[in-house]
Amino acid sequence: MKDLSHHLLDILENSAAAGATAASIHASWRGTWLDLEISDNGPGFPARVRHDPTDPFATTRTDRPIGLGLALLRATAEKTGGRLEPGTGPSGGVLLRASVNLGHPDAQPLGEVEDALCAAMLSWPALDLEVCIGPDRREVLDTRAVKGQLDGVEIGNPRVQGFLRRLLRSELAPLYDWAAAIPWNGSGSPGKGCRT
Amino acid sequence: MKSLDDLRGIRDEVKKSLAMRAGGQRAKIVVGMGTCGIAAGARETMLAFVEALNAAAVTDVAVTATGCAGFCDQEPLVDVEVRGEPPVRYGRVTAEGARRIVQQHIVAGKVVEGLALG
Repeated sequence: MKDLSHHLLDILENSAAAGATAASIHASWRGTWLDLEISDNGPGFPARVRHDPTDPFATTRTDRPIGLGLALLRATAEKTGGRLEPGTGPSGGVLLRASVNLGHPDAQPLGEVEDALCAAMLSWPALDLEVCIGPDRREVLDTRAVKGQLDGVEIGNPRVQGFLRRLLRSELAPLYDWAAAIPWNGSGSPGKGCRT
Repeated sequence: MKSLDDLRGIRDEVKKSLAMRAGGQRAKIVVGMGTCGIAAGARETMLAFVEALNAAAVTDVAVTATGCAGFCDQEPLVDVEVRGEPPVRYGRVTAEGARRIVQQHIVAGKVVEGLALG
């Protein structure tokens, strides 16, 4: 994955594929560390992968016995000295905690989080998303509230998506400002994280 | 969330335009959004489809996602299903490829030969 926002989209794909109808994301930061907490209301990890869901050969896939999503996220976190902790949330769904040091020379850039969220809304419109950022857990997206205003218009409608993308870009500004101030990492814009 | 008032304004405009259109959706664009697709750029491809459809004022085509189809080497994979025609599968569809597919296949009705798998 070229940046952290692509990992986020990949995790949401896991939730949708597992049958979850809601996922909650909290992105917080301390110093140069980004702490991500992602949970869903799906069935959680099945017993056969629960011992280590990040093992690429322990997968819920039925077509072939390899799943790379969580293994890649773990590698992304660990190469910065961070970690990925997969677990079970209070509702029995998946709870992932990832910590990534964006000040580490090997850290991937944050990427464009609003694009990940918009692609998730387009791809899995039935998966409700609740997104909070910062230590004060400021809410930046609640798709249930959005759908409540849409009165039958689909959340994936291109005009609605255009609006949400602009709104999210502005709501996520504190996260981007924090990342932009970190030496090595740059900002949420792909390319600025390039260190060649 | 702020700005939900603005969202209501957009909703009302979209509802008006949908009311003027009859016949439902004439085509579906399905983007492979598994781990392999996302790593290969499917997110950018999907957003490019939405933008290109918007720019071409096409309102009767849906953009949706599917998982890994098993041809990871060819990701981002895109299936274009036009009502009444056989589906066409495209491989390695970049954002630029998405714009070409909208212009040539969706708008002009011609399969994009260089991108179609077959």
